[in-house]
Amino acid sequence: MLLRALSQLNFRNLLTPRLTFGPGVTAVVGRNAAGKSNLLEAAYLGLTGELPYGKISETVRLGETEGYVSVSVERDDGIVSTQIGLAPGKKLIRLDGQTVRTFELAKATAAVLITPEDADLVHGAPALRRGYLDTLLSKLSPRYALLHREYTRVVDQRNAALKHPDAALKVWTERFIELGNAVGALRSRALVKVAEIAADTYAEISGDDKPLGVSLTGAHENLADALSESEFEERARGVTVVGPHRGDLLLTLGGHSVQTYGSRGEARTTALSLRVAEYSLLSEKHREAPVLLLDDFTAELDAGRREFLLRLAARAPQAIVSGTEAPPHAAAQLFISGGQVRAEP
Amino acid sequence: MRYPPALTQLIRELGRLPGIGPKSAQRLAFHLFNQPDDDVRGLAEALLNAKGSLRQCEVCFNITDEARCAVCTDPQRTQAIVCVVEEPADLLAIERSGEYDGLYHVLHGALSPMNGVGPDQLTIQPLLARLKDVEEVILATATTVEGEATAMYLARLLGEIKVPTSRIAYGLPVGGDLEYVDEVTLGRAISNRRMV
Repeated sequence: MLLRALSQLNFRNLLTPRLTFGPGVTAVVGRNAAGKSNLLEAAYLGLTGELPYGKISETVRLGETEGYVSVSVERDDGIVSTQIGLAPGKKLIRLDGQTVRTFELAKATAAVLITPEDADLVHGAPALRRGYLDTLLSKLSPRYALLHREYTRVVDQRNAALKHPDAALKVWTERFIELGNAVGALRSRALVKVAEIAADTYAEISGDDKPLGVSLTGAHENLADALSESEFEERARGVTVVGPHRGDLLLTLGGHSVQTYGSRGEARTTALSLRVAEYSLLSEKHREAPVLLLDDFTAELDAGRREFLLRLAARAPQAIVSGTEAPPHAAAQLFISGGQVRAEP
Repeated sequence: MRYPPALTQLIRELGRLPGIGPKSAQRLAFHLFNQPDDDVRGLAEALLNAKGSLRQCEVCFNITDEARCAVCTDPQRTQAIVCVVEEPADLLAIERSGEYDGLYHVLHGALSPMNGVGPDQLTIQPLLARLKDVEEVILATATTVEGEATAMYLARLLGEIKVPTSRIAYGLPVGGDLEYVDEVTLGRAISNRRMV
Protein backbone atom coordinates (compact mmCIF):
# COMPACT_ATOMS: atom_id res chain seq x y z
CA MET A 1 0.00 0.00 0.00
CA LEU A 2 1.10 3.54 -0.62
CA LEU A 3 0.73 6.58 1.57
CA ARG A 4 -0.50 9.17 -0.94
CA ALA A 5 -1.22 12.16 1.27
CA LEU A 6 -0.68 13.21 4.86
CA SER A 7 -2.65 16.12 6.33
CA GLN A 8 -2.39 17.44 9.83
CA LEU A 9 -3.41 20.24 12.14
CA ASN A 10 -1.52 21.07 15.33
CA PHE A 11 0.49 17.84 15.38
CA ARG A 12 3.60 18.61 17.45
CA ASN A 13 5.78 21.18 15.67
CA LEU A 14 4.62 20.41 12.11
CA LEU A 15 3.47 23.46 10.17
CA THR A 16 2.91 22.12 6.66
CA PRO A 17 -0.80 21.22 6.44
CA ARG A 18 -0.59 18.70 3.61
CA LEU A 19 2.09 16.57 1.99
CA THR A 20 1.93 14.12 -0.88
CA PHE A 21 4.06 11.04 -1.42
CA GLY A 22 4.87 8.67 -4.26
CA PRO A 23 6.18 5.10 -4.47
CA GLY A 24 9.78 4.14 -3.72
CA VAL A 25 12.02 5.89 -1.25
CA THR A 26 11.10 9.39 -0.11
CA ALA A 27 13.90 11.09 1.79
CA VAL A 28 13.05 13.47 4.62
CA VAL A 29 16.17 15.53 5.24
CA GLY A 30 16.70 17.93 8.10
CA ARG A 31 18.90 18.81 11.04
CA ASN A 32 18.22 17.59 14.53
CA ALA A 33 14.96 18.88 16.08
CA ALA A 34 13.73 20.05 12.66
CA GLY A 35 10.66 17.81 12.90
CA LYS A 36 11.80 14.70 10.97
CA SER A 37 10.67 12.26 13.62
CA ASN A 38 7.43 14.19 14.11
CA LEU A 39 6.65 13.84 10.43
CA LEU A 40 7.20 10.08 10.52
CA GLU A 41 5.28 9.81 13.75
CA ALA A 42 2.34 11.66 12.20
CA ALA A 43 2.37 9.24 9.26
CA TYR A 44 2.50 6.29 11.66
CA LEU A 45 -0.40 7.66 13.69
CA GLY A 46 -2.48 8.32 10.59
CA LEU A 47 -1.84 4.81 9.27
CA THR A 48 -2.24 2.83 12.50
CA GLY A 49 -4.23 4.98 14.93
CA GLU A 50 -1.39 4.48 17.41
CA LEU A 51 1.75 6.22 18.53
CA PRO A 52 4.99 4.29 18.87
CA TYR A 53 5.57 5.86 22.27
CA GLY A 54 3.58 8.27 24.45
CA LYS A 55 0.02 9.52 24.50
CA ILE A 56 -1.92 10.83 21.53
CA SER A 57 -3.36 13.79 23.44
CA GLU A 58 0.19 14.91 24.24
CA THR A 59 0.96 15.37 20.56
CA VAL A 60 -1.20 18.49 20.28
CA ARG A 61 0.96 21.53 19.68
CA LEU A 62 1.65 23.48 22.85
CA GLY A 63 -1.05 26.10 23.44
CA GLU A 64 -3.62 24.37 21.20
CA THR A 65 -6.41 22.12 22.45
CA GLU A 66 -7.12 19.91 19.47
CA GLY A 67 -5.87 18.77 16.14
CA TYR A 68 -5.91 15.84 13.74
CA VAL A 69 -3.81 13.68 11.50
CA SER A 70 -5.33 12.35 8.35
CA VAL A 71 -3.92 10.11 5.62
CA SER A 72 -5.00 8.93 2.22
CA VAL A 73 -3.76 5.46 1.32
CA GLU A 74 -3.74 3.67 -2.01
CA ARG A 75 -4.35 -0.04 -1.60
CA ASP A 76 -4.44 -2.66 -4.35
CA ASP A 77 -8.23 -2.54 -4.07
CA GLY A 78 -8.74 1.20 -3.93
CA ILE A 79 -8.15 4.32 -1.90
CA VAL A 80 -9.01 4.61 1.79
CA SER A 81 -8.65 7.57 4.09
CA THR A 82 -8.31 7.83 7.84
CA GLN A 83 -8.60 10.64 10.32
CA ILE A 84 -7.28 10.55 13.86
CA GLY A 85 -8.42 13.18 16.36
CA LEU A 86 -5.82 14.50 18.79
CA ALA A 87 -8.15 16.03 21.38
CA PRO A 88 -7.57 14.80 24.92
CA GLY A 89 -10.09 12.45 26.47
CA LYS A 90 -11.62 10.41 23.73
CA LYS A 91 -9.72 8.63 21.00
CA LEU A 92 -11.45 9.39 17.72
CA ILE A 93 -10.53 7.26 14.72
CA ARG A 94 -12.34 7.50 11.42
CA LEU A 95 -11.93 5.21 8.45
CA ASP A 96 -13.56 6.59 5.30
CA GLY A 97 -15.69 8.80 7.53
CA GLN A 98 -16.92 6.00 9.81
CA THR A 99 -15.84 5.88 13.45
CA VAL A 100 -13.90 2.67 14.05
CA ARG A 101 -11.76 1.05 16.73
CA THR A 102 -7.99 0.80 16.44
CA PHE A 103 -7.98 -2.86 15.42
CA GLU A 104 -10.56 -2.16 12.73
CA LEU A 105 -8.25 0.45 11.24
CA ALA A 106 -5.57 -2.24 11.14
CA LYS A 107 -7.69 -4.15 8.63
CA ALA A 108 -7.35 -1.33 6.11
CA THR A 109 -3.99 0.35 6.60
CA ALA A 110 -0.61 -0.63 8.00
CA ALA A 111 2.79 0.87 8.69
CA VAL A 112 5.97 -0.23 10.39
CA LEU A 113 8.16 2.35 12.07
CA ILE A 114 11.82 1.64 12.69
CA THR A 115 13.48 4.16 15.01
CA PRO A 116 16.71 4.43 16.99
CA GLU A 117 14.54 4.14 20.13
CA ASP A 118 13.79 0.54 19.19
CA ALA A 119 16.81 -0.55 21.23
CA ASP A 120 14.49 -0.02 24.21
CA LEU A 121 12.59 -3.07 23.02
CA VAL A 122 15.55 -5.12 24.21
CA HIS A 123 16.74 -3.12 27.23
CA GLY A 124 13.46 -1.60 28.41
CA ALA A 125 10.82 -2.95 30.76
CA PRO A 126 8.99 -6.20 29.95
CA ALA A 127 5.85 -4.13 29.25
CA LEU A 128 7.50 -2.78 26.08
CA ARG A 129 8.15 -6.26 24.72
CA ARG A 130 4.67 -7.43 25.69
CA GLY A 131 3.34 -4.30 23.99
CA TYR A 132 5.28 -5.17 20.82
CA LEU A 133 3.74 -8.62 20.72
CA ASP A 134 0.21 -7.58 21.72
CA THR A 135 0.12 -4.69 19.26
CA LEU A 136 1.39 -6.85 16.42
CA LEU A 137 -0.99 -9.70 17.20
CA SER A 138 -3.93 -7.32 17.51
CA LYS A 139 -3.17 -6.07 14.01
CA LEU A 140 -2.85 -9.58 12.65
CA SER A 141 -6.00 -10.89 14.29
CA PRO A 142 -9.07 -8.92 15.41
CA ARG A 143 -9.96 -11.95 17.48
CA TYR A 144 -6.75 -11.49 19.45
CA ALA A 145 -7.42 -7.77 19.84
CA LEU A 146 -10.81 -8.39 21.44
CA LEU A 147 -9.68 -11.40 23.43
CA HIS A 148 -6.73 -9.48 24.83
CA ARG A 149 -8.89 -6.52 25.77
CA GLU A 150 -11.36 -8.81 27.50
CA TYR A 151 -8.54 -10.63 29.27
CA THR A 152 -7.04 -7.35 30.54
CA ARG A 153 -10.40 -6.30 31.92
CA VAL A 154 -10.88 -9.66 33.64
CA VAL A 155 -7.42 -9.38 35.25
CA ASP A 156 -8.35 -5.93 36.59
CA GLN A 157 -11.66 -7.23 37.92
CA ARG A 158 -10.01 -10.29 39.44
CA ASN A 159 -7.34 -8.17 41.13
CA ALA A 160 -10.08 -6.04 42.67
CA ALA A 161 -11.89 -9.20 43.75
CA LEU A 162 -8.71 -10.59 45.35
CA LYS A 163 -8.58 -7.57 47.64
CA HIS A 164 -12.12 -8.21 48.87
CA PRO A 165 -12.80 -11.87 48.14
CA ASP A 166 -16.44 -12.93 47.97
CA ALA A 167 -18.44 -15.76 46.44
CA ALA A 168 -17.88 -14.40 42.93
CA LEU A 169 -14.05 -14.65 43.04
CA LYS A 170 -14.38 -18.22 41.77
CA VAL A 171 -16.06 -16.99 38.60
CA TRP A 172 -13.44 -14.32 37.97
CA THR A 173 -10.77 -16.97 38.40
CA GLU A 174 -12.52 -19.25 35.94
CA ARG A 175 -12.87 -16.48 33.35
CA PHE A 176 -9.24 -15.53 33.95
CA ILE A 177 -8.07 -19.08 33.27
CA GLU A 178 -10.25 -19.47 30.20
CA LEU A 179 -9.25 -16.16 28.58
CA GLY A 180 -5.63 -16.36 29.77
CA ASN A 181 -5.21 -19.79 28.20
CA ALA A 182 -6.74 -18.52 24.96
CA VAL A 183 -4.48 -15.44 24.86
CA GLY A 184 -1.45 -17.60 25.73
CA ALA A 185 -2.23 -20.11 22.99
CA LEU A 186 -2.61 -17.43 20.30
CA ARG A 187 0.60 -15.76 21.44
CA SER A 188 2.61 -18.96 21.37
CA ARG A 189 1.32 -19.79 17.92
CA ALA A 190 2.16 -16.35 16.53
CA LEU A 191 5.54 -16.31 18.23
CA VAL A 192 6.77 -19.26 16.15
CA LYS A 193 6.58 -17.11 13.00
CA VAL A 194 8.00 -14.01 14.67
CA ALA A 195 10.94 -16.03 15.99
CA GLU A 196 11.65 -17.62 12.62
CA ILE A 197 11.70 -14.36 10.67
CA ALA A 198 13.63 -12.50 13.37
CA ALA A 199 16.29 -15.24 13.48
CA ASP A 200 16.72 -15.23 9.70
CA THR A 201 16.96 -11.44 9.68
CA TYR A 202 19.50 -11.41 12.49
CA ALA A 203 21.67 -13.89 10.62
CA GLU A 204 21.40 -11.80 7.43
CA ILE A 205 22.44 -8.56 9.14
CA SER A 206 25.20 -9.84 11.34
CA GLY A 207 26.46 -12.74 9.26
CA ASP A 208 26.92 -14.20 12.70
CA ASP A 209 26.65 -17.86 13.54
CA LYS A 210 25.13 -17.14 16.97
CA PRO A 211 21.43 -17.77 16.34
CA LEU A 212 18.82 -15.34 17.70
CA GLY A 213 16.20 -17.03 19.84
CA VAL A 214 12.84 -15.45 20.64
CA SER A 215 10.64 -17.15 23.19
CA LEU A 216 7.96 -16.35 25.73
CA THR A 217 8.40 -16.46 29.46
CA GLY A 218 5.41 -16.82 31.70
CA ALA A 219 3.65 -18.93 29.10
CA HIS A 220 1.92 -21.70 30.97
CA GLU A 221 0.62 -24.91 29.50
CA ASN A 222 -2.37 -24.49 31.76
CA LEU A 223 -2.96 -21.38 33.83
CA ALA A 224 -5.01 -23.31 36.35
CA ASP A 225 -1.90 -25.18 37.57
CA ALA A 226 0.26 -22.06 37.60
CA LEU A 227 -2.43 -20.27 39.53
CA SER A 228 -2.65 -22.86 42.27
CA GLU A 229 1.16 -22.80 42.63
CA SER A 230 1.13 -19.03 43.10
CA GLU A 231 -1.80 -18.98 45.47
CA PHE A 232 0.26 -17.95 48.48
CA GLU A 233 1.97 -14.99 46.80
CA GLU A 234 -1.31 -13.98 45.22
CA ARG A 235 -3.11 -13.88 48.51
CA ALA A 236 -0.29 -11.96 50.16
CA ARG A 237 -0.08 -9.32 47.41
CA GLY A 238 -3.71 -9.21 46.32
CA VAL A 239 -2.85 -9.29 42.62
CA THR A 240 -2.78 -11.93 39.92
CA VAL A 241 0.92 -12.80 39.60
CA VAL A 242 0.81 -15.33 36.76
CA GLY A 243 -0.64 -15.14 33.26
CA PRO A 244 -0.01 -13.52 29.88
CA HIS A 245 -0.15 -10.02 31.42
CA ARG A 246 3.10 -10.89 33.23
CA GLY A 247 4.78 -12.65 30.33
CA ASP A 248 7.93 -11.37 28.64
CA LEU A 249 9.80 -11.96 25.42
CA LEU A 250 13.03 -13.74 26.14
CA LEU A 251 15.64 -12.76 23.54
CA THR A 252 18.76 -14.90 23.34
CA LEU A 253 21.91 -15.13 21.23
CA GLY A 254 23.48 -18.55 21.16
CA GLY A 255 21.38 -19.36 24.22
CA HIS A 256 22.44 -16.32 26.30
CA SER A 257 20.09 -13.46 27.15
CA VAL A 258 20.64 -10.41 24.94
CA GLN A 259 19.16 -8.21 27.68
CA THR A 260 21.80 -9.33 30.18
CA TYR A 261 24.84 -10.31 28.13
CA GLY A 262 24.32 -8.68 24.75
CA SER A 263 26.37 -5.73 23.47
CA ARG A 264 24.65 -2.51 22.39
CA GLY A 265 25.12 -3.51 18.77
CA GLU A 266 23.63 -6.94 19.34
CA ALA A 267 20.64 -5.35 21.08
CA ARG A 268 20.07 -2.97 18.15
CA THR A 269 20.28 -5.75 15.60
CA THR A 270 17.87 -7.82 17.70
CA ALA A 271 15.34 -4.96 17.87
CA LEU A 272 15.67 -4.36 14.14
CA SER A 273 15.05 -8.07 13.50
CA LEU A 274 11.82 -7.87 15.50
CA ARG A 275 10.68 -4.90 13.40
CA VAL A 276 11.45 -6.78 10.21
CA ALA A 277 9.35 -9.69 11.50
CA GLU A 278 6.53 -7.19 12.05
CA TYR A 279 6.92 -5.85 8.51
CA SER A 280 6.93 -9.28 7.00
CA LEU A 281 3.94 -10.63 8.95
CA LEU A 282 1.87 -7.54 8.18
CA SER A 283 2.78 -7.88 4.50
CA GLU A 284 1.57 -11.46 4.59
CA LYS A 285 -1.67 -10.50 6.30
CA HIS A 286 -2.51 -7.63 3.92
CA ARG A 287 -1.10 -9.37 0.82
CA GLU A 288 0.68 -6.09 0.17
CA ALA A 289 3.52 -4.38 1.97
CA PRO A 290 2.82 -1.84 4.74
CA VAL A 291 4.30 1.63 4.47
CA LEU A 292 7.84 1.50 5.82
CA LEU A 293 8.86 4.46 8.00
CA LEU A 294 12.56 4.62 8.74
CA ASP A 295 13.41 7.25 11.30
CA ASP A 296 16.89 8.76 11.35
CA PHE A 297 18.87 6.14 9.44
CA THR A 298 21.93 8.39 9.82
CA ALA A 299 21.88 7.68 13.56
CA GLU A 300 22.82 4.12 12.66
CA LEU A 301 26.59 4.15 12.71
CA ASP A 302 27.15 0.46 12.18
CA ALA A 303 27.91 -0.13 8.49
CA GLY A 304 26.23 -3.54 8.36
CA ARG A 305 22.98 -2.36 9.93
CA ARG A 306 22.88 0.84 7.92
CA GLU A 307 23.35 -1.07 4.69
CA PHE A 308 20.61 -3.48 5.71
CA LEU A 309 18.21 -0.60 6.49
CA LEU A 310 18.87 0.97 3.08
CA ARG A 311 18.38 -2.39 1.36
CA LEU A 312 15.12 -2.86 3.24
CA ALA A 313 13.93 0.59 2.17
CA ALA A 314 14.98 0.02 -1.46
CA ARG A 315 13.11 -3.30 -1.58
CA ALA A 316 9.92 -1.82 -0.06
CA PRO A 317 7.17 -0.60 -2.42
CA GLN A 318 7.20 2.58 -0.37
CA ALA A 319 9.57 3.81 2.30
CA ILE A 320 9.84 7.18 3.97
CA VAL A 321 13.36 7.57 5.27
CA SER A 322 14.50 10.43 7.47
CA GLY A 323 18.04 11.48 8.24
CA THR A 324 20.43 14.39 8.43
CA GLU A 325 21.34 13.51 4.84
CA ALA A 326 19.40 11.80 2.06
CA PRO A 327 19.81 8.07 1.51
CA PRO A 328 21.21 7.09 -1.89
CA HIS A 329 18.71 6.43 -4.73
CA ALA A 330 15.82 8.36 -3.16
CA ALA A 331 12.95 8.82 -5.63
CA ALA A 332 11.91 12.06 -3.97
CA GLN A 333 13.35 14.41 -1.38
CA LEU A 334 11.67 16.61 1.19
CA PHE A 335 13.53 19.12 3.31
CA ILE A 336 12.28 19.99 6.73
CA SER A 337 13.28 22.72 9.16
CA GLY A 338 11.38 24.25 12.04
CA GLY A 339 8.41 21.99 11.25
CA GLN A 340 8.11 23.41 7.72
CA VAL A 341 8.49 21.01 4.79
CA ARG A 342 9.91 22.20 1.46
CA ALA A 343 10.74 20.55 -1.84
CA GLU A 344 14.06 22.40 -2.05
CA PRO A 345 16.87 22.57 0.54
CA MET B 1 -17.68 37.64 36.39
CA ARG B 2 -19.08 34.73 38.34
CA TYR B 3 -22.46 33.10 37.96
CA PRO B 4 -24.88 33.63 40.87
CA PRO B 5 -24.71 30.74 43.36
CA ALA B 6 -28.21 29.48 42.44
CA LEU B 7 -27.10 29.03 38.83
CA THR B 8 -23.80 27.37 39.69
CA GLN B 9 -25.68 25.00 41.95
CA LEU B 10 -28.12 24.11 39.17
CA ILE B 11 -25.29 23.52 36.69
CA ARG B 12 -23.50 21.33 39.21
CA GLU B 13 -26.60 19.23 39.91
CA LEU B 14 -27.35 18.78 36.21
CA GLY B 15 -23.71 17.89 35.57
CA ARG B 16 -23.99 14.96 37.96
CA LEU B 17 -26.51 13.24 35.68
CA PRO B 18 -25.14 10.38 33.56
CA GLY B 19 -24.10 11.45 30.07
CA ILE B 20 -24.16 15.16 30.90
CA GLY B 21 -20.84 16.98 30.82
CA PRO B 22 -20.15 20.49 32.11
CA LYS B 23 -21.02 22.14 28.78
CA SER B 24 -24.34 20.32 28.41
CA ALA B 25 -25.16 21.09 32.04
CA GLN B 26 -24.61 24.77 31.39
CA ARG B 27 -26.74 24.68 28.26
CA LEU B 28 -29.57 22.90 30.10
CA ALA B 29 -29.40 25.37 32.98
CA PHE B 30 -29.71 28.38 30.67
CA HIS B 31 -32.47 26.66 28.75
CA LEU B 32 -34.43 26.06 31.97
CA PHE B 33 -33.91 29.65 33.01
CA ASN B 34 -35.49 30.85 29.77
CA GLN B 35 -38.57 28.63 30.12
CA PRO B 36 -41.91 29.90 31.48
CA ASP B 37 -42.32 29.36 35.25
CA ASP B 38 -45.09 26.80 34.72
CA ASP B 39 -42.92 24.60 32.54
CA VAL B 40 -40.10 24.61 35.07
CA ARG B 41 -42.55 23.88 37.89
CA GLY B 42 -43.99 21.05 35.78
CA LEU B 43 -40.54 19.53 35.37
CA ALA B 44 -39.72 19.88 39.06
CA GLU B 45 -42.98 18.25 40.01
CA ALA B 46 -42.48 15.45 37.52
CA LEU B 47 -39.08 14.76 39.08
CA LEU B 48 -40.43 14.73 42.62
CA ASN B 49 -43.49 12.70 41.64
CA ALA B 50 -41.46 10.13 39.86
CA LYS B 51 -39.07 9.80 42.76
CA GLY B 52 -41.93 9.74 45.26
CA SER B 53 -44.21 7.23 43.56
CA LEU B 54 -41.78 4.96 41.74
CA ARG B 55 -40.23 1.98 43.42
CA GLN B 56 -38.88 -1.44 42.66
CA CYS B 57 -41.29 -4.31 42.08
CA GLU B 58 -41.18 -6.56 45.13
CA VAL B 59 -40.96 -9.67 42.93
CA CYS B 60 -38.74 -8.82 39.99
CA PHE B 61 -37.22 -5.42 40.98
CA ASN B 62 -38.40 -3.77 37.79
CA ILE B 63 -39.38 -0.10 38.16
CA THR B 64 -43.08 0.32 38.96
CA ASP B 65 -45.54 2.58 40.76
CA GLU B 66 -47.34 -0.35 42.42
CA ALA B 67 -46.13 -3.04 44.76
CA ARG B 68 -45.82 -5.37 41.78
CA CYS B 69 -44.96 -4.32 38.26
CA ALA B 70 -47.16 -4.62 35.18
CA VAL B 71 -45.29 -7.70 33.97
CA CYS B 72 -45.55 -9.60 37.26
CA THR B 73 -49.29 -8.89 37.62
CA ASP B 74 -50.17 -9.86 34.03
CA PRO B 75 -51.93 -13.25 34.25
CA GLN B 76 -51.47 -13.82 30.49
CA ARG B 77 -47.72 -14.18 30.83
CA THR B 78 -45.95 -17.50 31.14
CA GLN B 79 -45.14 -17.82 34.82
CA ALA B 80 -42.63 -20.64 34.50
CA ILE B 81 -39.88 -18.74 32.66
CA VAL B 82 -37.78 -15.99 34.20
CA CYS B 83 -35.46 -13.82 32.15
CA VAL B 84 -32.62 -12.24 34.14
CA VAL B 85 -31.45 -8.79 32.98
CA GLU B 86 -29.04 -6.20 34.37
CA GLU B 87 -31.17 -3.05 34.21
CA PRO B 88 -34.82 -2.04 33.74
CA ALA B 89 -33.82 -0.59 30.35
CA ASP B 90 -32.76 -4.08 29.22
CA LEU B 91 -36.18 -5.39 30.23
CA LEU B 92 -37.83 -2.74 28.08
CA ALA B 93 -35.59 -3.64 25.15
CA ILE B 94 -36.63 -7.29 25.35
CA GLU B 95 -40.29 -6.28 25.71
CA ARG B 96 -39.99 -4.24 22.54
CA SER B 97 -38.88 -7.36 20.68
CA GLY B 98 -42.33 -8.84 21.37
CA GLU B 99 -40.74 -12.31 21.34
CA TYR B 100 -40.92 -13.00 25.03
CA ASP B 101 -43.95 -13.50 27.26
CA GLY B 102 -42.39 -14.85 30.46
CA LEU B 103 -41.38 -12.99 33.62
CA TYR B 104 -38.25 -10.99 34.39
CA HIS B 105 -35.77 -10.46 37.15
CA VAL B 106 -33.77 -7.24 37.27
CA LEU B 107 -30.35 -7.55 38.94
CA HIS B 108 -29.67 -3.80 39.03
CA GLY B 109 -26.11 -4.20 37.85
CA ALA B 110 -23.50 -6.80 37.05
CA LEU B 111 -20.61 -8.22 39.06
CA SER B 112 -17.78 -5.69 39.04
CA PRO B 113 -15.30 -5.88 41.92
CA MET B 114 -13.59 -2.73 40.57
CA ASN B 115 -16.78 -0.83 41.36
CA GLY B 116 -17.40 -2.70 44.59
CA VAL B 117 -20.23 -4.77 43.14
CA GLY B 118 -20.30 -8.34 44.42
CA PRO B 119 -23.15 -10.87 44.53
CA ASP B 120 -24.59 -9.22 47.64
CA GLN B 121 -25.05 -5.90 45.86
CA LEU B 122 -27.27 -7.55 43.22
CA THR B 123 -30.77 -8.97 43.68
CA ILE B 124 -29.50 -12.54 43.52
CA GLN B 125 -30.89 -13.85 46.81
CA PRO B 126 -34.47 -12.74 45.94
CA LEU B 127 -34.00 -14.43 42.53
CA LEU B 128 -33.08 -17.75 44.14
CA ALA B 129 -36.03 -17.40 46.51
CA ARG B 130 -38.60 -17.10 43.71
CA LEU B 131 -37.63 -20.10 41.59
CA LYS B 132 -39.83 -22.81 43.13
CA ASP B 133 -42.13 -23.41 40.16
CA VAL B 134 -39.84 -22.01 37.50
CA GLU B 135 -38.96 -24.32 34.60
CA GLU B 136 -36.33 -22.18 32.91
CA VAL B 137 -34.13 -19.21 33.69
CA ILE B 138 -32.82 -17.23 30.72
CA LEU B 139 -29.63 -15.30 31.45
CA ALA B 140 -29.82 -12.10 29.41
CA THR B 141 -27.00 -10.12 30.98
CA ALA B 142 -24.80 -8.13 28.59
CA THR B 143 -21.95 -9.70 26.64
CA THR B 144 -19.46 -7.44 28.39
CA VAL B 145 -16.79 -8.90 30.66
CA GLU B 146 -18.98 -8.08 33.69
CA GLY B 147 -22.18 -9.40 32.11
CA GLU B 148 -20.49 -12.68 31.14
CA ALA B 149 -19.07 -13.16 34.62
CA THR B 150 -22.48 -12.49 36.14
CA ALA B 151 -24.12 -15.01 33.80
CA MET B 152 -21.48 -17.58 34.68
CA TYR B 153 -21.90 -16.97 38.39
CA LEU B 154 -25.68 -17.37 38.14
CA ALA B 155 -25.35 -20.44 35.93
CA ARG B 156 -23.27 -22.13 38.64
CA LEU B 157 -25.72 -21.22 41.40
CA LEU B 158 -28.73 -22.32 39.37
CA GLY B 159 -26.97 -25.53 38.39
CA GLU B 160 -26.49 -26.39 42.05
CA ILE B 161 -30.21 -26.12 42.70
CA LYS B 162 -30.97 -27.86 39.40
CA VAL B 163 -32.92 -25.11 37.65
CA PRO B 164 -32.67 -25.42 33.83
CA THR B 165 -30.74 -22.38 32.65
CA SER B 166 -30.06 -20.89 29.22
CA ARG B 167 -27.98 -18.00 27.93
CA ILE B 168 -29.25 -15.67 25.18
CA ALA B 169 -27.63 -16.36 21.81
CA TYR B 170 -24.97 -14.12 20.29
CA GLY B 171 -24.64 -13.68 16.63
CA LEU B 172 -25.52 -11.86 13.49
CA PRO B 173 -27.65 -8.76 13.31
CA VAL B 174 -30.84 -9.42 11.40
CA GLY B 175 -30.90 -8.09 7.85
CA GLY B 176 -27.11 -7.70 7.67
CA ASP B 177 -24.82 -8.98 4.95
CA LEU B 178 -22.36 -11.57 6.19
CA GLU B 179 -19.39 -9.82 4.60
CA TYR B 180 -19.93 -6.69 6.68
CA VAL B 181 -20.05 -8.44 10.03
CA ASP B 182 -16.84 -8.27 12.06
CA GLU B 183 -14.83 -11.49 12.30
CA VAL B 184 -15.37 -11.91 16.02
CA THR B 185 -19.15 -11.76 15.88
CA LEU B 186 -19.15 -14.00 12.84
CA GLY B 187 -16.83 -16.47 14.59
CA ARG B 188 -19.16 -16.62 17.59
CA ALA B 189 -22.18 -17.02 15.36
CA ILE B 190 -20.47 -19.99 13.68
CA SER B 191 -19.48 -21.66 16.94
CA ASN B 192 -22.96 -21.10 18.41
CA ARG B 193 -24.77 -22.39 15.30
CA ARG B 194 -27.77 -24.69 15.60
CA MET B 195 -29.31 -27.43 13.52
CA VAL B 196 -32.29 -26.46 11.38
